[in-house]
Amino acid sequence: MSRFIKAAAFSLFIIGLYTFYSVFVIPPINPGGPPSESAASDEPATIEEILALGEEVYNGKGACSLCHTKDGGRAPALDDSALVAKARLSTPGYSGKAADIESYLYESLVDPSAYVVPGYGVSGTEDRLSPMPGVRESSIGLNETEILAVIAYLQSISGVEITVALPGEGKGE
Amino acid sequence: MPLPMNKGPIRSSLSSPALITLILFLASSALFSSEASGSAYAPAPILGPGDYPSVKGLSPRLAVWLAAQMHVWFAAFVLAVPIFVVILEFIGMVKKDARYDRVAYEFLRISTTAFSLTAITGGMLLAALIVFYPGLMKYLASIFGPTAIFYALFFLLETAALYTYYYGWKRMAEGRLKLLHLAVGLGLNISGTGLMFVANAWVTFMMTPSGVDAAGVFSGNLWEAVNNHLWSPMNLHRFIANIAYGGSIVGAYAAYRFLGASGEEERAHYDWMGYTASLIAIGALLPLPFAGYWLTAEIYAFSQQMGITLMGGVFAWLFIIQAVIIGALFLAANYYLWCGFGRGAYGEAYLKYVKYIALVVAASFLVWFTPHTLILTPSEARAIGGQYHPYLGPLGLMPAKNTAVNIMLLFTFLSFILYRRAHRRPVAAWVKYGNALQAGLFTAAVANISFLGVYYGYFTNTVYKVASSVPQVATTLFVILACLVIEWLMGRGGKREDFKWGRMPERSQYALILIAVSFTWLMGLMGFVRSAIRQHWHVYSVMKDASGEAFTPSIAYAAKVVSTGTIIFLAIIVFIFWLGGMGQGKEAGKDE
Repeated sequence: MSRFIKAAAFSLFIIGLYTFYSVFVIPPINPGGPPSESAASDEPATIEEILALGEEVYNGKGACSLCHTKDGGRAPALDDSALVAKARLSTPGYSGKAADIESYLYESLVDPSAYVVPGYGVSGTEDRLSPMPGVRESSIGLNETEILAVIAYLQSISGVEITVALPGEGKGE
Repeated sequence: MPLPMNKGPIRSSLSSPALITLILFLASSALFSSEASGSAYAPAPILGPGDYPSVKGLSPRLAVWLAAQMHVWFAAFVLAVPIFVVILEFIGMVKKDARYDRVAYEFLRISTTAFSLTAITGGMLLAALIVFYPGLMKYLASIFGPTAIFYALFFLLETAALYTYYYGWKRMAEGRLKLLHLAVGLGLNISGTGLMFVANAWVTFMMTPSGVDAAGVFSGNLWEAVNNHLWSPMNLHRFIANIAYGGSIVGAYAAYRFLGASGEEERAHYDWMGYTASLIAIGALLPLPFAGYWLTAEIYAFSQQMGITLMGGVFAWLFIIQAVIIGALFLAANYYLWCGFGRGAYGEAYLKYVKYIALVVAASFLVWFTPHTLILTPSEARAIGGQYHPYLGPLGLMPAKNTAVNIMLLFTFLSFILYRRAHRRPVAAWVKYGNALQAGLFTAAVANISFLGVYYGYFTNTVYKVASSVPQVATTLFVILACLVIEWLMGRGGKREDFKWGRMPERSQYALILIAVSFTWLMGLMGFVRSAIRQHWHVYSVMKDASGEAFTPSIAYAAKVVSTGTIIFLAIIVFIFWLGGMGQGKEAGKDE
């Protein structure tokens, strides 16, 4: 019996050690619940509201901040993306169809492979295929309001003029 | 000591739970398939909270989680044991050494009891899924319904082969019948592995669905759905991991019996059994990280988002826990080998190298242990100049981890080479050059692996950092193979003293117990993350989980669940060992 007790106690000690380490030593991160079905349930009526929605989607449902970090390097940081967009449009190698900053950002979100920044393509595709999923695809599933809100947010953090029209604006025109 | 054999009538304990589970599985597949066929290839259903039946006081997710984990643990064990039973039987036949036959039979007897429990837990899992997640099961059955036929076929073949293999051991012990017996064992393994491949298709489809469009409408091509991104890497990873796991559990069994052995002969037998089982476990552990890389690379290839969630997002810390456990496994394995130096006549001469190997393994462990992302206070971030330390930050990235694991593997292999030399002295005329060649290869490998790690870790873009893994792995495998060949050539005709089996300190046996417990816990943890990276999806990007438990639990919560499951599972395993011991006693009595 004593060898059983010894072996059992030793096993419990090992399990306890791993549990203790996981529960008390590593930082307590709670991933939380799933993103809401539509972050834009109430359509934003003001610039402040659309910027707030854009920030929420950027860090939440859109999962943009997962890859687009300053230090990670997996995808370009986006804190000056609107300014960079302007430069990209005049790059000789630019292969997309956008004509201005807003449409460039829109194109980058819904069709990331339209133009891949050199060095950021899927390995072996010579930067023709982006690893980023289109934000309309179901793993992210942003609707039009959410996409526009993200563009507005990106323009805002880049310090350029916000050109995105509020939902409802221009409908009667 | 005579080989204990069961001469009694064939027991029905194996068949009942297995058949009940099979019937349940077939019935549910047929029922759900036929229900779904009314709207053939309909989109994945959009479920609401009302689509999930509930039982007061019971968490459906927890019930499914524990049932699935129990089933996977038992299944891993019963799939793995017959693989090395056949290998041992074959070696025993070739070497004409009855010890192999005896150990193989003892392994198999343990797994037959576990076979019933695998079926029972499989039935529990299936029932829990049908009761709590009917919408998901209906959708999966509408696509995978036809695979139930293969499942049933493999199941019946496996059961029949297991019966024949186990109960025919003595009757088919000589001549051509022995070859036939081995063929039955091979059939047992093929059918068991086939069974796992079918189940893996369902599981991997939930992670990386293919053969369906964005709305989840099935194209009608079943093979495409089966052969999704993760199916092949998961098959390989589970196949190797099962062998490592089965070896570790049998090793723990041998250790336990060793500790209670009443005589020298019994002690020697269980020492040899523990060594053989642990050798299989560690041997399978060596290629496992590489299968893991393939699996992870396929996750990234399917979805960068899923890959980052796995390795760089909320689960990044989970891999630090994994590193701790794998580090513990390597240290325990090395410790067991070092203790084993004492079995050989020349072992003492090699003890002086132990401290250096321990140092390298520990240093590698620390690199593997270093996290990339730390939660910092603003002042700490300012002090180190950003989120990551400028020099130590890359130690948290894959090139450094790959470097650490490859060096750990190489030095564990070095422990093994020294262990082998503890009982044999190569006498070839060119031994000096052979040793120099081995040392040169080893040094060059460590230098190459380190160079690749530093280059890809510090001087390349993130996207290319993972590219270090292939040449590093190739270097490790090449050196291991080359050194083994050189060792074999140098050892031909060499002086060889038999190991003194049983000459092991008792504390060495706790290393084997630690390996089994750690493997079990680690499997539970990795099972959690494999499932959890789907986050709030039943079928990733196709079918959402709308139940009240769609949130992703914290690692701390998962650790508690895994620990609870591990304790329950190990308690059952101990019970099986106890039964095995009783059965062995009775059979030995009959033989006498």
